[in-house]
Amino acid sequence: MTERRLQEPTVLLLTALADSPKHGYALMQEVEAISAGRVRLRTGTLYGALDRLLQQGLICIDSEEVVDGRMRRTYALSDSGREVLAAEAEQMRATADEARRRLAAGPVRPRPHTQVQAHGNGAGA
Amino acid sequence: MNDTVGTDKRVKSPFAERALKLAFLLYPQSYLDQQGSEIAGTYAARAADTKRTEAMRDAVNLVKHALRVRLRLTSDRYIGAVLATALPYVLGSAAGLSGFMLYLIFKAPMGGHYEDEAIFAPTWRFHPLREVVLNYSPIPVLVTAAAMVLLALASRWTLARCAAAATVIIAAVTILAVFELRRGDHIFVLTTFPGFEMPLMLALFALMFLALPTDARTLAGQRIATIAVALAVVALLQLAWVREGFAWSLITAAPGVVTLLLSLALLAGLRNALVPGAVALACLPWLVQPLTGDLYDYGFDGTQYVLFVALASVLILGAGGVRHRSRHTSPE
Repeated sequence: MTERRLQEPTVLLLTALADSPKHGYALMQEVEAISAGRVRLRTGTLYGALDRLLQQGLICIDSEEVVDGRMRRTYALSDSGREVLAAEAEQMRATADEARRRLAAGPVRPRPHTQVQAHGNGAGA
Repeated sequence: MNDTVGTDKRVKSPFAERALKLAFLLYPQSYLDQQGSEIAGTYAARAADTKRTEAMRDAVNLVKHALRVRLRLTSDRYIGAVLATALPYVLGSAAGLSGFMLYLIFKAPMGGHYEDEAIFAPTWRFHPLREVVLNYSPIPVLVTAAAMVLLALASRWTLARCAAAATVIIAAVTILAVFELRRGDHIFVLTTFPGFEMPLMLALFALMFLALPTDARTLAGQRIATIAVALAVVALLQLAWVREGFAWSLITAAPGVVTLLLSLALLAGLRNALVPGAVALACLPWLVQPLTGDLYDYGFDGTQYVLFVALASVLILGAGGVRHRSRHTSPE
């Protein structure tokens, strides 16, 4: 399979783990905070994503403890996950820089009439 | 596992606790042994911080996760991409099927078509409600399936998934009700129309929708695979017409024509909204048929049908051409 961009919830999850290991509920809260409330991971979605990221080797289990009679795992970013997140962040930064550069260059508003004439003359090819 | 859920202090709401227990019934035991305790803890912490409706939505989300774990469906597996690719055709097919079925219900009610009382269960043989159930029981399925399609087209995915879940449940109830009704001396529920096949197909389409990983990507760029997926969906649709005994006729040919249209649309590089549109357009003859003749007669001949399909194809390809030009017009 060809290399592809990560989806936003995956990027947010990896970002949440970038500074320190976290358990499931803390991850849900961090993702919501990082995305300014825009992305709210639900429990099933979170564990589906964690299973997949563990399988891909992008995260690993940092520690396991029993709290209130329940297992609580803490997840951490693996070396591979750190590299993938860094590459993704670099791509996002490059795109954002380009967007800012073009916005700063000012708007170019084509006039519809001129455009039709250009096509009619075969100049649009 | 259930004992752990019940005794935990943090599950404050009995409702949340019940919802979690129900969701956990669907997970494979091996997965629960490994992850169940942790998931229950996270769910309980979340439920304690949110409203009851949010806890319910979280429980529904766990049900979907359980379904994906059972089916081994994740977004990085090929089958996840196949389902994501199939979604527009599934929605289009569900729309066409619902429309055709709704029309049949009101145009050609089936309740009076059965002369042999032996096919009905003894308690229903002369019951005044029998024909009402036979004729109109699929309507709730159609309503939820239509809601699923419309909400998905409006990109209201959470609500569309709720409608898909409702479609599955109501279809199961409908099929059981019709089965009970027709448990007479000769059972041929499988050939009852429209009491069985169409709700079953709609339930199947809704299940495919529910099983779709939320972050799945499509097979965009793999044209052959995409066409194969479209063919598979249309082949599924064909099953709704099993009562015809797989005989080749204009009725059974219709899904084949839909396939052809889909293939053309895909070869022309059309996707997204136009593809379900193509399916709906190709389903039009099925909607027109009851208007023009009785249930078994299209009312127009093969040549007219071919011309109709050709016209539909030209319209679709024309629309694609306009769309392509509008996207690629140079601003200079």
